[in-house]
Amino acid sequence: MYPIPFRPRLLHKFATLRYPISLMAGDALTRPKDLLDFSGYGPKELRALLDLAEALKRERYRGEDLKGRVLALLFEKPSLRTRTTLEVAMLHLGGHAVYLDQKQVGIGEREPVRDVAKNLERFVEGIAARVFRHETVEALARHARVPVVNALSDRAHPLQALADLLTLKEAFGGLEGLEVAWVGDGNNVLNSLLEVAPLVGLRVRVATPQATSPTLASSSAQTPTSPTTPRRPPWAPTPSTPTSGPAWARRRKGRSASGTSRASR
Amino acid sequence: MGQEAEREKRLRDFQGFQVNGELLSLLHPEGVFLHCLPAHYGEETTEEAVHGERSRVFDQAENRLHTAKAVLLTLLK
Repeated sequence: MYPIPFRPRLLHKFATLRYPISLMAGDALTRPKDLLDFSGYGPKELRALLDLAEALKRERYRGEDLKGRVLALLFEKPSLRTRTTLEVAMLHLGGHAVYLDQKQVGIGEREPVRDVAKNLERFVEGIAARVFRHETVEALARHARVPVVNALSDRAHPLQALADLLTLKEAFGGLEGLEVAWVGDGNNVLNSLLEVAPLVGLRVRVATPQATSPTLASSSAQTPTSPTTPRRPPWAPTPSTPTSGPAWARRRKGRSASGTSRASR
Repeated sequence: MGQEAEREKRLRDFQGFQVNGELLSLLHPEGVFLHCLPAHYGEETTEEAVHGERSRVFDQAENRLHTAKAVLLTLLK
């Protein structure tokens, strides 16, 4: 390929549909090793990921880019979409995934996380882990020299956020200036959406029944401040407005979407 | 998850926060509905919302594959 440090950025700027998918995958020297949440990811990285996902979808991409590579799937909790899409993605890219059931591995119980990491990095080129505690996937990333992808933790679900963004981008032709209302349980999925929103110009309003989320970050969110009273959505009418049951004022004009989710999975 | 007592509490907690046809009628005319799934019909949402015309829930689910591919291609290549 190109000698380091020359990077094909100029070519990427003019990349079109005809540009090889493999070169859209970005610069090995600057991208983060892992995807645990969106720290280390900026607008440029997000744009690149979403553009790449769009191109892959449009071309119904099958390739050999990851030929011979193996992804370990280490799951402490059940999954339909995450496990299936990670396995299928590897297959579509010419690689393979091996599923490791927590009942077999016993990460943190049968064997410490550090040891699991230092073993797996010898066998596989990447690890995707669905864990109860975010600290577990952080420890995997710290001790394994291969990339670690968070397939959901109590604190984050970055893969879901990326799919949400792609869907909004498709529906509205872009993300900048979109307004999204989150209605329901404050949870890991919401955390990731809030974290990624400022990186793509998305504005998120939040209405949750109570303080159900471990941490709500990001200044782009408007959240009710009292943890003890039931939260009304930001657009709910004032007490003087006659209502029957929870009545919702018309949202102000502009493209908007609403998303919801239940308790952490 | 799935214990009856928990479910009762959740139903109470979600009072007024369920995303259903009524709530979606207040959405901007071009607005869409997303849900990460799995859906628990009658709790945080309804069939009308998930399978209705404002829903992009299954496009969203499909996009899990394309974004997973983009991530793996970017990180593992």
